[in-house]
Amino acid sequence: MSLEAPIADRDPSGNATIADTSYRHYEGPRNLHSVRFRVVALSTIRQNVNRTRLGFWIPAGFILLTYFIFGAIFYVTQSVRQFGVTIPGDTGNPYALTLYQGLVSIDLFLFAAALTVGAGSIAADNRANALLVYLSRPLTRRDYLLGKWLGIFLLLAGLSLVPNLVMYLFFLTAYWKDGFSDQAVGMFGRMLAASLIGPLLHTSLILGFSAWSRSPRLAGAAYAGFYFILSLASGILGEVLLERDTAGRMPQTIAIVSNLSVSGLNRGVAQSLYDVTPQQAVQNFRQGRRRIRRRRVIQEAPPNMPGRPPLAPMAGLTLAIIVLPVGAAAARIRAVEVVRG
Amino acid sequence: MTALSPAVANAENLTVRYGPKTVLSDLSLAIPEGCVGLLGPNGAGKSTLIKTLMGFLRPASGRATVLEKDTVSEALAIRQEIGLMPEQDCHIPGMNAVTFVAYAGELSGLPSAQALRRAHEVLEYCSLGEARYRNVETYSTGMKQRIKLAQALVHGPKLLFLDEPTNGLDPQGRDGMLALIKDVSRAKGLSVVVSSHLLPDIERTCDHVIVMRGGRAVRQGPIASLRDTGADTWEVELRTFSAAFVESVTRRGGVPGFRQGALLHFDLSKAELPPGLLLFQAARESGAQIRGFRPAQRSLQEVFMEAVEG
Repeated sequence: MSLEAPIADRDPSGNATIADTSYRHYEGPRNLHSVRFRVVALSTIRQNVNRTRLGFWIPAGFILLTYFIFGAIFYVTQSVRQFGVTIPGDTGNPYALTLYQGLVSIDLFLFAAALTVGAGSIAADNRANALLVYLSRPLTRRDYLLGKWLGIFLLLAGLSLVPNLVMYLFFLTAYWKDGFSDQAVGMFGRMLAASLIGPLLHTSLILGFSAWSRSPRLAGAAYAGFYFILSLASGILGEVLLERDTAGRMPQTIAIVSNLSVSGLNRGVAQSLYDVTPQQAVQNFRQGRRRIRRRRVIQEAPPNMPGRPPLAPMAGLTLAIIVLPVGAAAARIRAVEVVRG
Repeated sequence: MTALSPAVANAENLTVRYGPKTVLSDLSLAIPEGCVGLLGPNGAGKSTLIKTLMGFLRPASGRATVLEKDTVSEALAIRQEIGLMPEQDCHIPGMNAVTFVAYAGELSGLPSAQALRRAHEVLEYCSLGEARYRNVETYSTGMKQRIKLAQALVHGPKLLFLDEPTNGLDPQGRDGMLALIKDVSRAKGLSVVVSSHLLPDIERTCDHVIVMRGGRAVRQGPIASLRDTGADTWEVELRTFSAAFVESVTRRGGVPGFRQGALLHFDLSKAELPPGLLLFQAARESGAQIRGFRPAQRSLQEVFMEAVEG
């Protein structure tokens, strides 16, 4: 029996997956040029959420686990409070502090996801001459970059936003009557904004490094170096300044300097958005550990550490770090390089 | 400028510079419909011409049009209607052939279902049907050349630019690729511009050639007319070589020229008799047997060398 469908049964419009095997001209509909970047973005997402790409799913698992732990700590703490037990060092808004701590704790996983998702985004295209495929089509450099950026950003934003939303919903449903109702609307906006800072920073930076690298490994190594060296340098510099500034004359400068890194900017802006201080966060974290271990708690003085940096310079720096790498990537992608003689 | 119409691409006094270096200098040409060979030594400006026609380079002066669209102001519209098969390997990492070609179609604006359908169709056409689910990175050189052609064809272009399409292919692969190019340009009606260093490839596939040197088009036209010697030179093929035949033709005013085995060239411009009559009289007199005769033509290599050596 022939496997081929009788001619009369074939779709005359040619919409079948395989209509026939001969090449024909295409005169059918075409999508508008203005939405072509979406094709690039969707392809980036599809390639990375593939089941075999564990580079995305492993950080995703760790991020969910982190939030689960923070959620559990919060639940235990609130349960203890309900029994009228006063917890020493209990300062600040517990909801904001928990969301903030979750956000800060996942930055490393977000960074790891950015490496696996973004390092090859343009570098692998450079290596495989894929830019030839893109730029010989009705696609501008802007479309290509926007598509790549959006694809990576949506993946990272998903990693950051989903657990934050789950945590928010947990607060909303379980603690509505315990004071969360007063801040639910405002907290949602703050949570949304704070969750997107890390993905925005990582997306732009990894895209910039990827555009200027010939291979994904090189891009990943360069970004990792940038991330860790800057974190280390700003941390050390902040500590040195704090040590020398015995009179406490320049707390804001110290706070800015100690946050001059990718994770620092994320942290600094999130502190302002959630209205928490680093001291509160550290105390809250210590409490959490002690509560879990069921040790006896002694009230401690707030640790001597750089304070919360002012929002305006941190937001300005964050914006610059988001925009500049994209500009650098745009400068690197040149159509004239696509045809070599 | 040679009048060739209808033209799919035109350049009028086109000058393109890379910084202080002028790569295309006051270039005027018309690329007609059909299959056109772009010939020239390295640095002649072939790739720069393709870049300019695709709208990647802005001319310093002059203008170029492709499919009646300006390369500067309508570059995206041009790229919608052309396909490029680049010289070097190019693929999108981590994709199998059908995903890659469908993606290339989507980038050109095809809806995803149509892009997938055409990807299957084009891969089948390029003889990659059975390897369509393999990762492109695992393909052989010949298969990579074919997939480059497939991605250039998927969106149904009207004009194809093929940059060294037979690079790195074995004789069998080369024959297959040339057959595909011939079929695309003749049976499917696409206009094709083939940039190549390999003259036999151009000779086998193209109807027209443009020979470039130093950023200028030094010869352009149908291959048949370029090969025409212009002089009254005739090519005669004998059954076996006959010195008596040569002597007999010479006595009648013919000047013997090129000879290879039983293939002889005679300049009959000074002969008083018409070529046919002269050759048959000489054959009868010498007892030689003529298998055929026709106006002599130069090889494409001779045309090319003459053009590039000025």
